[in-house]
Amino acid sequence: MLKRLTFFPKLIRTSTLFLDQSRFYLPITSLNKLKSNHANNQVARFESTEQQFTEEQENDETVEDAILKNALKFVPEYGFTSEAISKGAIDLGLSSASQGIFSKGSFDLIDFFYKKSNKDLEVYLEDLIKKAEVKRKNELIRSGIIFRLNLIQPYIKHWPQAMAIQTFYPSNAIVAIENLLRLCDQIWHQVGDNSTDMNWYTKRLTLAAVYKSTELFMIQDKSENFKDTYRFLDNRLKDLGSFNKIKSNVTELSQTINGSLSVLKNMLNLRN
Amino acid sequence: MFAISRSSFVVSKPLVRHSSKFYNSLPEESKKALDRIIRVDHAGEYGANQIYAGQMAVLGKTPAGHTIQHMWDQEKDHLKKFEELIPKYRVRPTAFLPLWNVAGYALGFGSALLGKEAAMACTVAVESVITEHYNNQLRELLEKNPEKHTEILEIIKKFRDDEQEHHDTGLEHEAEKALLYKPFTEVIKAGCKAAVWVAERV
Repeated sequence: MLKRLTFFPKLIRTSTLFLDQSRFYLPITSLNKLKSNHANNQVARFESTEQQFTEEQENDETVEDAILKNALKFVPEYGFTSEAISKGAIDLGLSSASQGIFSKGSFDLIDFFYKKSNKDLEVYLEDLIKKAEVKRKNELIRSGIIFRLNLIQPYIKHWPQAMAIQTFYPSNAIVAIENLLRLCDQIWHQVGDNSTDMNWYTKRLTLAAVYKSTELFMIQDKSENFKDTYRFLDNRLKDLGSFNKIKSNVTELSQTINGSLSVLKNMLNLRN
Repeated sequence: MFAISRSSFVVSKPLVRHSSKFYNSLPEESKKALDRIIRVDHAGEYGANQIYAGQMAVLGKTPAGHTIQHMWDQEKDHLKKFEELIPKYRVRPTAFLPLWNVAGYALGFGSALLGKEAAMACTVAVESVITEHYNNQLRELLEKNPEKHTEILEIIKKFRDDEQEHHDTGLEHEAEKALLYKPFTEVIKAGCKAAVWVAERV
């Protein structure tokens, strides 16, 4: 369902297109077009960036991603803002107006950061599992969450602002929730989850609740090296254990129902 | 932590860890289609299992019991296969599993109560929809890039043939002699198609 909803923000994105003044300076959806134009010697403005463009091409990275990646360097100073994006663009040798290609401004930057961090987590977990240092599932989950939280720490000062932007517009919130669920699905997929029933949903949702509440705790945490945050996380993971005990009681109830059905079955079999 | 999940692994299925490399290697454009295909097929096989379970509850000790048991065993294998594919392809299972559980069992149980012929008519109706549905999926996957989906294609082809066999078995066992055969099968077919539509999405 989430996937189907994603077309909605696109609609909004196109509608804001006309509001965004910087669009008029650079009415091109992708700077990749500039790159091809440049090859034909049609645009001379981006001459100095030729080398960077060819480098990016090798990494199979779009210009948008390159700008946002570079903009992250300026986030500690400027926050998750369009200003950080334009600083990142200037640093790449592009015009500061190129931030206009990001119609959602700061949310595009946050979204990029979120997805990039999810990818980093994927690599980290893959590595951890390969090394087989940590074997137990709950320890893997714990170290996964801690690694993911640590990725936010350089930007912790501006993260409350980012969290607000993520939930402020409904269109942003849909993408943000999808990102969060992707993150939880990612962890469960790599840690190993064979569930094909309702457990699939409860596992992801409870993990999302744990992650989100720990994240909320972390932005207010003043302790040294976020010690309190990790303790908070451990307590939440303990809570999850007791939640599962309640759940297993519910499962026992369904077994009772199954049992009474089999009594009915036996009665019918006797009749045959 | 996660006490229930761990205990359920021990009982039913051993934990297999899938590398995310496999999922990442899938072509981006077919991930969505595979997600939908595996989800609906899993739901379908789950429902079919429940139908046969319901039929066996009534007809288990009659001469037809042996035939139904054979078909049920094949469906169990199919379900097991899709349960392996769900974590491998990172598919979200259908959220209506409890509904398919109850509805499938009720359909099997109810049709079997109407007699052996009605139960077989039910099988014919369900299996004809599933065969057609598998054929559509094969067509869709072959249109995209078939060389990337050899595993799925092989599985669906084999299962399609099994379902066709069940359909023919139903006809051999005098399904057409059931009371109101035509309207009865049409209603079940419509229900199955509606279920497929829902399971593809939710």
